[in-house]
Amino acid sequence: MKNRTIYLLIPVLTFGLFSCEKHLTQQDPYVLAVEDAYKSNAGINSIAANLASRLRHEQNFSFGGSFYGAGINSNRHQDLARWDEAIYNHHTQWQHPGGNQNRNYRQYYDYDLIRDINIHIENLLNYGAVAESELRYYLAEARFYRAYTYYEMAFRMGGVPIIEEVYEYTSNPIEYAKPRNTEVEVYDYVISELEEIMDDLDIALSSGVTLTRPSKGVALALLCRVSLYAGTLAYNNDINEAKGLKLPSGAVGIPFAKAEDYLQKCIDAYYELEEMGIYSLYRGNGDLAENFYELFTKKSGNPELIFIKDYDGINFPNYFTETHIPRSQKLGADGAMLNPVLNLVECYEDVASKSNLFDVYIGDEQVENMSDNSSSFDYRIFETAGELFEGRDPRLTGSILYPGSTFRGIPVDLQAGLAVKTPAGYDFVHVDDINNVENPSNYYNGERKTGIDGPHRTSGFCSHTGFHMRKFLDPNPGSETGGQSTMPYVVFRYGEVLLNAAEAAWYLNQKDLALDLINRVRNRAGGEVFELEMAELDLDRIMNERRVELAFEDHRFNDAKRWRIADEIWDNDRNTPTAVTYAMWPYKIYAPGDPDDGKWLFRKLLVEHRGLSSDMGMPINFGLDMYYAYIPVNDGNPLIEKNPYH
Amino acid sequence: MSKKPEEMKRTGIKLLLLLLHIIGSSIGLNAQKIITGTVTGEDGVPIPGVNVIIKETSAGTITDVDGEYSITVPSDDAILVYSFVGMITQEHPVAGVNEINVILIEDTKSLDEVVVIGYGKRKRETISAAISTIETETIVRGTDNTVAGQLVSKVSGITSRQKYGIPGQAPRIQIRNSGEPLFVIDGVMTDISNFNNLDPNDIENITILKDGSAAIYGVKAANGVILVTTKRGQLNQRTTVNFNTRAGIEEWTMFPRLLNAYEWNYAQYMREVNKGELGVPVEVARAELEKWKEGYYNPETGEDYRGFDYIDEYVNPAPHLYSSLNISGGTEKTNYYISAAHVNQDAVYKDFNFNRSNAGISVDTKLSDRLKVGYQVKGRNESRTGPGLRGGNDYERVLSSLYNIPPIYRPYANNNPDYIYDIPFRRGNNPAGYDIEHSGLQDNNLLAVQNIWTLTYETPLKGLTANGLFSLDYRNRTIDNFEKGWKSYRYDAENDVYNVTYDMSASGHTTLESITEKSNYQLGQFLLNYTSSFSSLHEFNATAGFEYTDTKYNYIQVHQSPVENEFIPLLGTNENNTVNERERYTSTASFVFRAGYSFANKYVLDFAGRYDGSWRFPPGKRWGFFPSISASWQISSEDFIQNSSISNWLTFAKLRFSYGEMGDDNVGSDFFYLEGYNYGSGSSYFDPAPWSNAGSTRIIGSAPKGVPNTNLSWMAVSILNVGLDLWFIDHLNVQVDAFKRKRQGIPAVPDDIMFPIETGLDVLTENLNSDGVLGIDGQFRWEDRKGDVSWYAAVNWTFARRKNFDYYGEKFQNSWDQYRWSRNNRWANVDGSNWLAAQWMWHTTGVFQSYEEIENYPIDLDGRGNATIHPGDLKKQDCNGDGIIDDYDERVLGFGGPDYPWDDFQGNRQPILSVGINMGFEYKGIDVAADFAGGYLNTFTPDWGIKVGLPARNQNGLYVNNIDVWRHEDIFDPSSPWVPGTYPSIRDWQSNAASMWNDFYVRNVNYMRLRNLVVGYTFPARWTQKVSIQKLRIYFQGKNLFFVHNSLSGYLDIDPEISTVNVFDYPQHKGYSFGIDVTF
Repeated sequence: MKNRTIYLLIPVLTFGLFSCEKHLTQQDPYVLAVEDAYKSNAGINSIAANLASRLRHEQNFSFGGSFYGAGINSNRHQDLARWDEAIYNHHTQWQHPGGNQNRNYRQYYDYDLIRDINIHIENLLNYGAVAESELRYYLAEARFYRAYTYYEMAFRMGGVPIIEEVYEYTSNPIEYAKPRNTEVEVYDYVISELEEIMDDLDIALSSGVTLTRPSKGVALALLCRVSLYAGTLAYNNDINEAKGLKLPSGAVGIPFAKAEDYLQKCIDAYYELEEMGIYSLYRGNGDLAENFYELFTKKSGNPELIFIKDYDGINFPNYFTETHIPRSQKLGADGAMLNPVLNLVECYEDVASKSNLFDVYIGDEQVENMSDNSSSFDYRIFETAGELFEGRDPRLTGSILYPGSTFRGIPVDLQAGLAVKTPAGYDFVHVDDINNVENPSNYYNGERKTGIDGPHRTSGFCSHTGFHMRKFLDPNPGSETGGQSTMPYVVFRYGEVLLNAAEAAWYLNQKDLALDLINRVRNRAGGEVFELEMAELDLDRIMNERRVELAFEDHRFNDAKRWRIADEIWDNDRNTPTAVTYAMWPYKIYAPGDPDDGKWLFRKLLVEHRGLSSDMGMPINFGLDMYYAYIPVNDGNPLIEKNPYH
Repeated sequence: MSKKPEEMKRTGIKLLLLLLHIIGSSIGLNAQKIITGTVTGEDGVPIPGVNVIIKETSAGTITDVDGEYSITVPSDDAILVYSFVGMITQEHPVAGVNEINVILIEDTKSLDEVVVIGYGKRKRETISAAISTIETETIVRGTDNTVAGQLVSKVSGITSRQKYGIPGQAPRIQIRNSGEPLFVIDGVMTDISNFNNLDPNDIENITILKDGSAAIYGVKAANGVILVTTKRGQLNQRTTVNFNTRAGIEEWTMFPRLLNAYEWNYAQYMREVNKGELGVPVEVARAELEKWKEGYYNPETGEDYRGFDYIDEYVNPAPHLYSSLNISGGTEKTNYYISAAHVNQDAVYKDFNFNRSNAGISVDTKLSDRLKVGYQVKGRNESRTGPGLRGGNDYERVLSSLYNIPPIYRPYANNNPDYIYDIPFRRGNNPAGYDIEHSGLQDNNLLAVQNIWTLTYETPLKGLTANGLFSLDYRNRTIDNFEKGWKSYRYDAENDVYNVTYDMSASGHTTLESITEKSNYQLGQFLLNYTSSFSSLHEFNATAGFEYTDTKYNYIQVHQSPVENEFIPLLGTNENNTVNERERYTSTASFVFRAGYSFANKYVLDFAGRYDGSWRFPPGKRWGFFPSISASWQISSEDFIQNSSISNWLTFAKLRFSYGEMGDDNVGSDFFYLEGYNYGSGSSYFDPAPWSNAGSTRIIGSAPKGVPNTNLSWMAVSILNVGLDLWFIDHLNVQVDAFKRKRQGIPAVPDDIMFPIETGLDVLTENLNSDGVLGIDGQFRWEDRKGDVSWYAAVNWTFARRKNFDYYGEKFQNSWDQYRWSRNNRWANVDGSNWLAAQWMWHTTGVFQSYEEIENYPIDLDGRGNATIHPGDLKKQDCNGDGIIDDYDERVLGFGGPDYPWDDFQGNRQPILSVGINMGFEYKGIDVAADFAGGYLNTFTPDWGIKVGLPARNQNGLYVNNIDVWRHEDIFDPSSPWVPGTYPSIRDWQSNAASMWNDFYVRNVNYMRLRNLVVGYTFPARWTQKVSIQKLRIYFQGKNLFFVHNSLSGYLDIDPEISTVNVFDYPQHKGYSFGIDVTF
């Protein structure tokens, strides 16, 4: 009897335990099994979406917005204010804008992303179960993301280890330690990858080509940029030698001998893009200034765009408009945080004279301090505030709001204060706080002192420099709240390709090509009269052309770095004109009975809103240790060599 | 009603007589005699079911529902033995009488009392584990809404802290400071929410498994187990109806005095002068201050220097109501219990409320002699409502406004209650708008229903019963959060208009949100119980069984911000909507067993264990075995005690020992052992089909989960416990337990293993570290009765201190580093690498009285030759005597670190020593009881405004550290002499006291509070029974009436259980209530 019970119990218990195991097995509702993920386009797209979202773009428009969230961190649009294009005017008790940076600036060493891309490539090869041509595209796309990431790393960090392997977890990780590849190897790797995948990405259709995922055009645009960058570094080899920006291992430094090869690749990429016949400069609007502005607002019917980061204003909010729209268009709230500086505004030439200085003083040019509230300088008098800017390169109007500009049909209200004429010169009166602009008790003899948009010395959320942003601002009303702007962030556009090739051609002494390319850009910008003669073309012109054409598009810092001039122009010296930033404040003259009454004058001022609360108006610093950012090291990889000056 | 029992009685007697006749005939008839009588308790209430046995025979009877019995005894020599559970057994010789009426006395030792333990019951006498029990009458004493609140101070082994006194919020209780315990209600493993929200009146008793005996609950029992048994009806019990209701009023126990408008300006000017930052000419400041002092107000000009006391206006006493009704009874085959209760508690803030309704039924019925089925359902509805204020913690927002708004601002623009003032620096924060009318409604509603089906079958094999249990627990929480915006105004006197200067709606700060959270929890259990005794000496029992659980959880949130309209609080399709859904499935399966043997109740040996499987671990690593063993020795039964004079005063002594191993499966994220792609990580707005140029679409991203961790397993906890139970002269009970808890396999990253960054790999967590708790708990309890008076007094304590044992990979360069940073074998508060665990700080030895003293002071306190030190500043002890004060002079001087609002886990610790004192007496219907709860060896670590005083003009501060300070005789003249105060002069962060951690501000907290005071009067039964009322009692209950000692009093004057660094916690309530308790 007992024995029989035991025999009966054994199968019961076995079954019990077996069904227990089943009972204890739960499915993770948030996770796709690897095999399942690669069975469909939807699964693969989801993985690609993750990778694409992790690509590094220095001006991520989806950050910021809220009053408190709008810190000036790297990888955000406010990062523009670090250098000499704009300043960041978010002046509160705790948060002071744009202090100087160190060797960690733009450090980028995202091997987590590299690993995930490598896993993706491996999984595509092992499990990919979609149409063959689509699979080929996905593979090429993944390799594009990897090449893009290596380009971003190489330009910031120098040579880095090239990893294509997916490492297994191990108890002896030291076996995975790898030294840095040379800078040349990384650039060559990026270029060869792009060349290999280009055809698989060739998916141009009559209906147009995708702007949001890699295409052949995107690969060529990156190739064009990367080879220009690598080519410039090689071309500037002697400067690198002189400044100590080389390592014997080659982890940093590109021999001059490589210059020609790289630069020619840049030009060839331009030729190939041109041949594709898809891309051209945008000329959709007859008004040249509006045309240039529209270039950044039109996502369809715009042949100039090659690759963009797209926003829908809902799930992918774009806070750029919200954060930087002039105060007058968004009363009582935040905004106006990025203010272009005079350093940039002055780069836009007069169309007729092709000269670029603003002459607001009679006699010598002056630089005044914001805290001086009177002066005896002799100012030029203007009938209107906008008069000073008439006749400038239309791209100025397309990119920046200045006194006299309109945005969304509404004039910008820029007026620093009243210039009260005195026997000795002028007294300058300003409102005490930008919030009190319209308060009659703050008026001067019944006259409003300051415009709603500023500029103002101490207030935040209005202009500090006398200028506002326009490029990337959304023209659609309502887009200035809740990140609802849908403006794209332009990663690659044809204008850049032309300027890249022009510069490469200049170095390679293909001067006709250089002139032709520059003039194509200038023609679109200011018409035929704005084109240059060969005699007028020099490297400074080419550099300046990039500065004005590509303003705020995250090129200025990279350009100054690869030209190896960054440490000279941003030398942390208050006496270096390029290391400090300037404002241009418009004043309405108050002199009842005087013929100048109601007319305008301008003061050129040193910008105060830069640096720390204890050191306002701090000059810009770029040390030699910043040409290559600091590579994070740990004991796991003792083979990593440090960058120069680190 | 009156006839039936009579008939039953008669039938019963007939049956009995028949039975006795049979028995009697078997022993042989000889001078037979019938004895009758009534057995009652001390209160005169008849006790049914008392065993009446003729000594040294097996013949006997039991008393009926009226406590009456009748028994035929063989002769006058017979002795009758009267025994009943929980009562002292009595013997009465027949000796020629025909009627014996017996009054049974409650046995305070309750050795026969049956105690609920894991998966079974035991006689108290044969308990060998460390457990604490608490009975219904003790549980219901107090006015806390939560069961945890009702446990505080009443039982050893439990520590508590209640940082928030928010209505509906429970104190955090732990068993021996080991973390949140497992809760088991009526045999069903459940969670803290079900536990806390039982109606305390429905609880029969609670058992706390403090030691290794919790191991029978396996992988979830690491922190101990609290077993709750709810009330059920009894068989053959007359229908009893109990109704209990009380109403009271409550307010904050204690909150610090804030600055009024004059004091605020006075302190601001002091700070500005001390820092050399006075922004206005001195004469202007003097004149202003004078106006604040007199409270100048001129309605004509709008000049208003009256200030405002926000706490006075917006914190008001709140009502607290409680009612419960239960009906219980039973027939021969069926017993039942029906209950309902409702509690309604307002907060001291307008429109904030907590209310809960409980209802339940339990029925057990015998289908046959062997088969019994039971069904129990408990439902409850918890509702927490309040104004829909911005942000997550609405209570905190109100408190933050009350404590922060500078008292110079009044809540309404131009004092016109139609226009809420736009308070400078506090835009959108004004208590005048903190009501449902302005801010909308937040409604958090929980509906929970628990069903338990039970089946008990007595098998034909004697002593073997089979028990089945199935429980289904369904919970549904809905949160409707409607955060409306309101406008705030400034008054423009010149034009006599009120301008909207801040419109919350227009700024987009409105939210409409709906959350539904559902869970469905199943538990099934099958147990075989076997008991057998081979003679009266050997007792053997065993339990074996199987248990499984299964949980489904689903959460869905729809969030709209800003809202489409502010009129209809219903969600519709809107582009501002975001939707978020989460779900989770969990399951466990377990085999439990227990076997116990006791010899003459003297030697007891108990084994128990659980073979536990958890879904959290990968196949092959799911199952773990958790054994425990315990033994006890009742020394007092040994002859050498019995025969000695010791037994005159030591009436009972038992030595206990136990050891058990438990688990904690809370070691990592769910499914850490699986690979795959995490859906929903990162997303892109891009072209889903680039080859057809489809345009941008939102594609939700998926990222690799990372390397699966296949090595991680549960934490293993072991507890060793040695205990002693003693009774002295039957009145004094002493229980002491010493224990050591060790937890091994705490997940940690082995930080000496480094992967090259370029691999994209990180080292995975492993079960590496260990910690534990050491301590002693116990109680002393005296119970006695003299005549009409009975009284008791008890002290219980739990001393439980956490300690780190092994920390993986510690390496130190020198002995200082080791002293400063090592965690190995150190108390948990000496954790140098976690400044939130405890504060390393400077010891202060007093304050400087003069500049002369500062100049002559040999030690450089500020690194600048004491140039920044002023009279009133702190002297810090130079522990290593090197003449400077630096990191090397820091010591751990407290038991806990700072509790910052974003992480209340760290600083908000349980006291190392918790003490409860309970006392009471009864005299002729009057009953008085008091429960004192004390917490010792804890630390309050303040920061921010508490340390620095007023830091800026945008907030208010406390009176104590802003006014009672060192100051200049003429506060506007920095050259005038210093006048002493208790606290250093205010210079915000420039002050040497403020800028560093020191024990001048950080205080150890020790307190004893009168948690409950109960005074009741029960009307004599002879009066109330005339109106069919068995019992009528009226009572007063006081809650938190005072602190016996508080080391923060005179300093911050805050409730001692508060922990946030800026004291912005909603303190506990103190309350007074009156109630009536009727039993029919």
